[in-house]
Amino acid sequence: MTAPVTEPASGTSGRTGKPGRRSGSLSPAVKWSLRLTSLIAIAVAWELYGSAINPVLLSSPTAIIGATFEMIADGTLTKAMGESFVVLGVGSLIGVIAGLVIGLAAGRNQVIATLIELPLNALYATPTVALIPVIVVWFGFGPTAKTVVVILFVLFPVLINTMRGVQEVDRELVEVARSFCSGERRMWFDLILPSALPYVVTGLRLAIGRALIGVIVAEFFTAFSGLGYLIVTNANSFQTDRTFVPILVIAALGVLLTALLELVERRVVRWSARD
Amino acid sequence: MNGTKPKVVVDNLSVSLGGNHILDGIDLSVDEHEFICIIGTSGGGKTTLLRTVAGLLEPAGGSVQLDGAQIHGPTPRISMVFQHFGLFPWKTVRSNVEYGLRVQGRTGYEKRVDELIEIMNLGHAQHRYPHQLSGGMKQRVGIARALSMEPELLLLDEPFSAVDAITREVLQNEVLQLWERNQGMSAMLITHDVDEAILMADRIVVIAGPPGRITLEVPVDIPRPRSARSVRSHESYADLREKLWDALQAGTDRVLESA
Repeated sequence: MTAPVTEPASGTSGRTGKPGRRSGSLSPAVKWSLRLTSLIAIAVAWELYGSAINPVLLSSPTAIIGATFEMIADGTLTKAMGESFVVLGVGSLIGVIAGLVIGLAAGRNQVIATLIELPLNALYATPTVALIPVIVVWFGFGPTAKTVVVILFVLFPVLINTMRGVQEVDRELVEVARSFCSGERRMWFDLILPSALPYVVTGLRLAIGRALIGVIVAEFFTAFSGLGYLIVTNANSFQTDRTFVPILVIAALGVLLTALLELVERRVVRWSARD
Repeated sequence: MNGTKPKVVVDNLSVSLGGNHILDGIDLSVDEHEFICIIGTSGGGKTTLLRTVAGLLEPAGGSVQLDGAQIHGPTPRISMVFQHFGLFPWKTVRSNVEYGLRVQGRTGYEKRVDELIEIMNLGHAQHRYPHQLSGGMKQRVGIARALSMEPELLLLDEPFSAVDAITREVLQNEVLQLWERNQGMSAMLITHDVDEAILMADRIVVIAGPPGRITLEVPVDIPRPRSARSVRSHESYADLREKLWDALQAGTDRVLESA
């Protein structure tokens, strides 16, 4: 290695020719056992403490598992999941696509970037929750309102990161492309899209968390449906075990989606020194 | 050389960037298969001159001509080796080398690319990504990519400044050999290293600025093939080096005065 290594952690994988495994020190088996240990530790502590006090206050994992089967059997959980997931899916899809399109356009075109700058900053700085009453006025209490809330929650992180990614494209590489007489379209595929990709992935990662917040908050305030509504109604009737079921579903979904994204990221951004 | 008409003519060239006068009244010609080194202190406008010859910058006045025709924008007949390599991090070594050919929409380049990879000793690394390469290897890729276009003029923008001293010497010799073998290719190399200029050039041009002007133009009459050693032991080496140093020194003084 004669040049300074510009990115960390490439030392172990640099000479093998194959991108190495993530953070080399722990083997996958060790990692998974550590993850399981933390889960079990939390569950055991919860079980011991939860069953020692009033079940309304904390409930316990076994009670929650029991409540889960009940709620699947009576259909409340599956119905609410269906309602929430449709909104989540449709809202995220629209939000991500809109964020990508506007972000790419604004990243490459200064006129568009300047046009959207003030409204974007204003909307981004405003807590999206503050808009929910207005959205209800416009779209009622149905799934449309919920979808709009999710779109708003998802749009900004995707848009802003995509725009930044396009803007941060390496100037020298633009010169390289120009010096080889590349046209604009080729430049998008050779240069702009690949270099924006890691930023887009970061935007998506933020968007996952915000989409889940968006759908639950929207269901608190608007529709009488979905997992958020289930949380509110069960909490109001002090059925703490049944309250935790939709919460844990959301948590599991968040973990699952983040893991999925990481998998995609590792496949798509293979050239990076980070892995 | 040999009284042929010049390959490239830079005629009374002025360039401004962001309202700043970078180059002023540059006259320079490069003959067919001539190796020119442009030397000067930082901020003197060397790179700006190279980028203008590459067609990446519009002149504010004057012109750059290739075979008598004015250059407007980049052309595949001129290719460039970049100071910081300019490799696409998401492309493998091989597809970085192929890049120019693919942009040009050429086909059937497999054999040519194989050849270049062989010449530049990149065979074992052709499926690696740039972050897995050393600086010297990266610049080999940059050189192979530029040569793939079979350019009539090769521009080199401080190509060895980001590699260590030993690799630099190896690369200098490789570039010289490649150029010597390719009779149809002229070369223009930018450096701030006096010895590199003497080793490589048929003619050395000193630019001082801002605004950049040519303050000295000297031929290097040391016979080829050259090596770092044969150059240093040649009788004209000491004189030439002193002359260049004085010109560079004068340039620095001017920069200090104007600051």
